[in-house]
Amino acid sequence: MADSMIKLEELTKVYEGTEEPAVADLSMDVPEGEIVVLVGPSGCGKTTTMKMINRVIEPTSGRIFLEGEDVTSTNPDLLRRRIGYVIQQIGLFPHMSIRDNVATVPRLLDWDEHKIDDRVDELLELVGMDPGRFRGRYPRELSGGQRQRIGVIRALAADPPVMLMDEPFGAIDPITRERLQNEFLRLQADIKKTIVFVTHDIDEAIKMGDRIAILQDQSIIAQFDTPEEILTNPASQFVSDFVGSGAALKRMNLTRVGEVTLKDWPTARSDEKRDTLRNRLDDAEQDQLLLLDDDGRPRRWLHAQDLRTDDELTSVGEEVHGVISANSTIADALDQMLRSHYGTAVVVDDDDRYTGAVDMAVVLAAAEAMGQSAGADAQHRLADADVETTDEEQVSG
Amino acid sequence: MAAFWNYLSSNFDTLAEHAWGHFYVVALGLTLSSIIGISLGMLSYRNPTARAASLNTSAIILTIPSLALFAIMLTLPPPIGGLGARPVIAGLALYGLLPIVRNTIVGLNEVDQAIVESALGMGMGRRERLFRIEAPLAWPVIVTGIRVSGLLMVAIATIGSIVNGPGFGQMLLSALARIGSATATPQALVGTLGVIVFGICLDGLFRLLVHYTTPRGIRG
Amino acid sequence: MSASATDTAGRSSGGIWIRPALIAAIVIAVFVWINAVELDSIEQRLLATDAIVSAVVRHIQLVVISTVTVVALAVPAGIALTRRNLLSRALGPPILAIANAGQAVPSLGILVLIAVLFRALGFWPTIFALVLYAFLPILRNTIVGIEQVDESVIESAVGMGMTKRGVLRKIELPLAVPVVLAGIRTALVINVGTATVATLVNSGGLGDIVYGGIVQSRSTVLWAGALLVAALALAIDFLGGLAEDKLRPKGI
Repeated sequence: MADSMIKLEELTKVYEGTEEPAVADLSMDVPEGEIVVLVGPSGCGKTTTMKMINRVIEPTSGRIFLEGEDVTSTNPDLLRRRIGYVIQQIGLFPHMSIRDNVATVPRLLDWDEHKIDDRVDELLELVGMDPGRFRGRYPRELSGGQRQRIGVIRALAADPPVMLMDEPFGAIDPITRERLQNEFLRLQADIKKTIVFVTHDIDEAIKMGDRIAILQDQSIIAQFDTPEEILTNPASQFVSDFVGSGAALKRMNLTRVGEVTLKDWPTARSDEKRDTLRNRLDDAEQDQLLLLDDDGRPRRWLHAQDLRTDDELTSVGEEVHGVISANSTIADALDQMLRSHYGTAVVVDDDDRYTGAVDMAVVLAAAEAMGQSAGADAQHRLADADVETTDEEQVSG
Repeated sequence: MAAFWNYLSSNFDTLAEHAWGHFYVVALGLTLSSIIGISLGMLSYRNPTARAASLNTSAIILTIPSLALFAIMLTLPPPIGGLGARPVIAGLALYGLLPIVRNTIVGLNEVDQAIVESALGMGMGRRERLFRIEAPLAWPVIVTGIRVSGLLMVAIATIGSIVNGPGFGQMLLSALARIGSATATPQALVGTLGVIVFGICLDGLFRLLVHYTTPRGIRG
Repeated sequence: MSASATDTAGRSSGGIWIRPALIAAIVIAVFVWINAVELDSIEQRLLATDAIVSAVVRHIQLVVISTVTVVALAVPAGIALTRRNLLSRALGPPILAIANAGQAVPSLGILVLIAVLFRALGFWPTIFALVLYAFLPILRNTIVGIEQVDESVIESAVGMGMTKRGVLRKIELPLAVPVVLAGIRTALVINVGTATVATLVNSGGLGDIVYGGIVQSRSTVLWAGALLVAALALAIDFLGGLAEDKLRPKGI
């Protein structure tokens, strides 16, 4: 590949006191602007491989090229300032404000303080955090998801061409994780960094990766390909075992909600007359209206009996769960549908405004496009999940 | 009791003088001990052999009876030896090393490795990591070491009076020399209480210092 | 406090023979040196071999008698204060607070106060002062040692039908032993030091040699006394460490 951003040549790492190399003769090209995911069972050497790129772990032999330049033995500190670095524990500096955390690398690069201020605010806005509110806070005053966002923009601060991310969403609850993944993909669509991403989760790899390297022991590459190819044509038994059963279902990680035709759900505003709303619900094929607030954000599900009361509409009906975005995968949508009451996931845009809905019909249509088997898998999963939900309720009750 | 208050009011000037002398040797001893102890800790915390050597050495010093240590300091050539405050300050500085060295080493090693790794990954050099990340995070532990060491010195400085050091110890020696006289007991009591009050004040001062010098983001 | 640090430091260096070797080297060096140099009459008197031997014996007597006494008093008192009854609940916290503040009490102050209060000098008043001075640290270590025993361990013992006395004997004390032993070792080291200072109240011991050297301006005497008392302190601390390792219940 002519325009590879990172080139690894026969990289080997043998840890002191061990005979077997942790990484053996790994060669790989990471093309510019792509997310390459290193995925494999624990202990396969994927993290060691990633950490050799910015030489947090020094390779025993082999060479590393960044933008065509051999950086195997250049000053490691200067090299690291050109590479963004995000680890699972995030590692924000607890004694520094958010501003100072984000400003770390620009300061090391002697940026002008005004430029740093502007950059910090720009980055906070990029991840939807109000600079006025968050600039002066300390890490312990943030939620897990907010810390993770700061970890990412801290790595982006000096606009490095390359980012290394080691299980960046690993320590976060599943719902927040999904949102952060989507947010990050949206961000990446704008910034187009070259990213090496390590995970042990094949679903995450399929969702995040432009290319996936499935690694065996000692970081031997079992397959290095696009997610589609890996799912369709696994190169070996190891790959198909690792991808696991339900490869067809996993393909649902490949299609994004933004790529399918959404269902139009009948909506309501709180200032509309009850009669108008009742008529609208009667005419619709659905059993509920979706109440939106003044900014068009989904608020509540309203049933026919809710419209018969005189109470404020914002206090009747049921709260909306299962909100997804255009960047969510069909698999995410399915997940959210299972969580919501009506088998429906509501799709919102960047400003949380309602844009459409995903229900079983939409999923099945998408599955149709992917191939028959995926659809069947999905239905199985829905059935299984019903059983699981019942079990959970029994346990918690 | 009356004798005690009587003694206190009529000897207020000498008391103030001894308090100042006590403060002087402890303040200088603690400053020296902090500089040496923190440096030793910073130089040795990453290397197991160096770590054991600096901990062992300062532990051995603390085991030596203080009178022996002050006596040895007395015989050393200037600027350490000679009469007056200097051998006492030198002895205190050595005596107080262990809490400071130990807390510096423990504090620096306790810093979350994820934080250190992210600093390393962002291109901070050895010195930047130590002074901008590790040392500020270890600071509360280090100051606690200095506090413990300071309290130790307040008590030990009294013994420094045997080699002519200034401070409350002078009152105790003078009381002992006048054993049997009416003022001996109040004088010994005032001297002892002076040391205790001084220790309590220093302790409070250090608790405030820990609070106000701890970076806001990690303040408990 | 010095004891626990010596402990970890001593173990991490790995060389258990470093300390005895150092102690032996100091003692041999002192004897070789005072036999090699020419001593004047004052020095000869202060450094006569039987004077040194009797000073060492006296010093050890001071330390051992005071430590045994203080352990016999402070450990039971500490246990009593951790029992869950009205008296210990009322007395425990203030005593612990005093014990914590007690770190600032000067040893010389206690020695002098006892001397001037009772107008008494010599061996037994010194023993009394040493016991008084080391009492609070040992009491504090005993209380802390017993109270740090995991509550769930005690609960499971009670749950299995152990009596209060059984819990104390079979669970609390064995688990508290390391902390109590560390306290005793600290007291030993403190007492070696305080016994040196006690030369001022005519206690005898190696302090006589050090102080004699200071008063008579004989630096040979001063150094010999200082090195010997340092060697004694290191030796007692070392033996205390060995005893600690031996007496600690297996598995802790």
